[in-house]
Amino acid sequence: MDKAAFKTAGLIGLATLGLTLTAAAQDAGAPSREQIEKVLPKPAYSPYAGRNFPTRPLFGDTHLHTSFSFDAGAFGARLTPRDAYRFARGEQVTASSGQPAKLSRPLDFLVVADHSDNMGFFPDLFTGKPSVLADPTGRKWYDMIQSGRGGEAAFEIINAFSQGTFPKDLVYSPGTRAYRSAWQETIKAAEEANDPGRFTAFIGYEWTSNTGGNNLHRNVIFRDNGDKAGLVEPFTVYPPGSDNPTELWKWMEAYQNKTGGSVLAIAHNGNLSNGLMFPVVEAFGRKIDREYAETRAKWERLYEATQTKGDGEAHPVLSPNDEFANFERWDFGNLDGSVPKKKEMLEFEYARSALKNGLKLGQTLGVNPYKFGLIGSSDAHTGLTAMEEDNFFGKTTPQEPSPERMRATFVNVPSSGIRVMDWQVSSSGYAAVWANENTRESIWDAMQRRETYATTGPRMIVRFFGGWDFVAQDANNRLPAQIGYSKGVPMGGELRAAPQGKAPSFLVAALKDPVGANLDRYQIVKGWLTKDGKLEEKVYDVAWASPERRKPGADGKLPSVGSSIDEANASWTNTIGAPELATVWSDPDFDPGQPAFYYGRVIEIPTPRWTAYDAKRFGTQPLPGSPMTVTERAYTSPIWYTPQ
Amino acid sequence: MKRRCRRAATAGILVLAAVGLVTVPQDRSLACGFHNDVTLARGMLNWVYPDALHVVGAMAAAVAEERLPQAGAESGPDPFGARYRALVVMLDRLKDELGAAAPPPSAISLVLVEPMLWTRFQSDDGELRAQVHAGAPRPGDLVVVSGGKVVQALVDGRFSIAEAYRLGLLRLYGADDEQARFLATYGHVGRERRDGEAEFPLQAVQ
Repeated sequence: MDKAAFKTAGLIGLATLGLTLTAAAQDAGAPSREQIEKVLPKPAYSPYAGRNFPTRPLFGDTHLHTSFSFDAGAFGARLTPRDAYRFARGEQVTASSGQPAKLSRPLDFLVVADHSDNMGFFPDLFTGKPSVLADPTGRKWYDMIQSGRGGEAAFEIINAFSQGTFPKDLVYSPGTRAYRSAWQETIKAAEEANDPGRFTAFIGYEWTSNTGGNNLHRNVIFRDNGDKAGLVEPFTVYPPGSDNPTELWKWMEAYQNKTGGSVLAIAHNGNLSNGLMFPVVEAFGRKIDREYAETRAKWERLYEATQTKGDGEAHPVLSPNDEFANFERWDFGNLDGSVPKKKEMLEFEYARSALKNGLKLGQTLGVNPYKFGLIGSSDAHTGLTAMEEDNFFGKTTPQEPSPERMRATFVNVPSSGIRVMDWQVSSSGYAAVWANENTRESIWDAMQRRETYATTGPRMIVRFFGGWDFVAQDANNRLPAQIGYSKGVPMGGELRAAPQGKAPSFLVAALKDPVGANLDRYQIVKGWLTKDGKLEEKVYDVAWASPERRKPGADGKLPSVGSSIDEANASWTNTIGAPELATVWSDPDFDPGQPAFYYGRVIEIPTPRWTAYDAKRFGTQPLPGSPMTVTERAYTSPIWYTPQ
Repeated sequence: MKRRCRRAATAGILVLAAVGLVTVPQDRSLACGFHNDVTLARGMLNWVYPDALHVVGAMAAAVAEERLPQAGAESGPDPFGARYRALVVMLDRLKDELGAAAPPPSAISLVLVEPMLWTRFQSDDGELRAQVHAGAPRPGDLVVVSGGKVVQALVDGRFSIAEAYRLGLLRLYGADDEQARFLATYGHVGRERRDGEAEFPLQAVQ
């Protein structure tokens, strides 16, 4: 075969592979569209024939607790992992507060991520598992409960934990029969609920590093079935585990080596880490070096940007020019409320600033440790991934719907002065994943390639492609993804080697949630590193509703979309906003010598917050300062530009 | 061994702190909401008396259906104890109504889930006495789980114990025959039976 024939054959091969062509199209010297079209056969009548890219996002939750989590159980959650999967699949279940609960629509996947420390203790104690009854104290507590002295038993259990007298044989830790049984139960529940093609039930857990009250939790998700995941036991914080993330990564490596399986970790929203989630100098007494960067980048390719304990995309102190940065903010302090937040901590716990710092570390260390994609998830401790504003079952069982929850206190730590009210809990979020199939493997692979986005609850459909050759009419096509994949990279991807004289262009498209609110605007958030080492950011409005009426002002800001909310009746209308937004945007400030990232942010029109629905339903008078409206949103994973 | 236990305790607290709460009651009354954080005590109630917190959901539904009053400014801190005193008066009225019906065959421990306040009703020389802010129920007590709003509605004559039970606003824990006897004896309490109205049907709880 001569060189030309080889090239032609290669092009045909690449073209039939679709996604592979995507990557090729970004390389310098890649074939032009015209060249490719010449060697491709005439498309079939069906424009979809041969298509092999993801065509719809799958929505789910990567972070849900059930009664198997010690804290959830202690707060009264009685739903099991099985119940959680049933609920996520769209079945009606009875919440721990006795209320019927059902999602507006089924989700596509769920990770039951119970805390690995003390997993499964509560259900075992109260059902009288042999492993519990074998211990004299366990037997005593069980008998007390059975003989009507449950109140005393509860008192003893709580005090045993608080005073360090908990019987060692009742500690649920790896290596014990009881712990193994709880883990196997978790796996079994996932295996039973997993229905490839229809619903994916992942096996997973949450590693709960919390030293000093600073939240460094990670959700660990297996790509594998129970035959592999069951060969290990989760990594814990207390022995034989560790509170250091680098030890978790070693455990992950060991798992893969032992089983041939695959596992990933998603860092918890860092807003309660008090500046420790995204270190730039040192972590756990060790300098941040290339090895740290490589390891973190390898195991943690996603980040939880929004959840019930607030939103972690951006902070108004860090992004004072971003009018949407002040959103469902939780900047009181660390997780247990022992240490109040200081301004200087913020930079190291929000997604946008971490992405920016990652550019700098990438330059100094040669590897960017913070090249992560974005997802949202609930972190609910109820077994109910119910993150719809009109169907919000709270973060914990005491926050399940009631007339009291809008006025109740969630966290109160007099020593630090930190007080968090239940109304501050956010009805957020979900993870959207562009996977080809609804299977463990396909969704996990999409997570690994960061083809994901976060939503604060609504299921808007969001596309975000970056490349060098998008043109305005690409946004008019009804098949933007076809063009997006063939001319660029999807969210989570990378652009390299800017062609001479070209700036990156982005094909963006968003469709409203079919049963949700219209869209206000599609923004692109850019972060970059200047030649003199300064980190910059800018938010661009690139597509918006009613452009004929809404023109950017002298300050570059777009006028508000307005509001159609009837707060008293907790309702709104889609009389403002747009059902879909699409455009091609090219970076007007591009400098090919500066590393950068770009991500999409889609803003809905204002809608009633869960507090408004509660006020309407229960007649509760909101406490002063309680927000009654929300601007729901989605954050795509970034696309990075790295100069060569 | 001690060290390991300490670690376990740390882990327990650590995991409790995972949702931001580590406070535990320090006295044998299992705490009440007027004097302690009761989140854990209330949570444990759902295990010790299975599904006891279903009362919370039933109360939420009753508020939405306007069977119970809407939430107002009565929740939140009670620095001067006015709400606590009002609750004591209310429980005393309930004691009078129960006592007027018949002395209970066994002691009754009532827990109101919003403040997690335990009250023990016990017959003493043929007279019913109420110990408000009691400790944990004693062995053999019939445990009644309900809410302050529900008891207020009972003593105000807005519905009866039987209706509250049917609506899930009041749950019973104890031997089946004790539960049945309780409902047979006190089902009408809270609302006078109208002429011709049957007593609470026992089969409803069997």
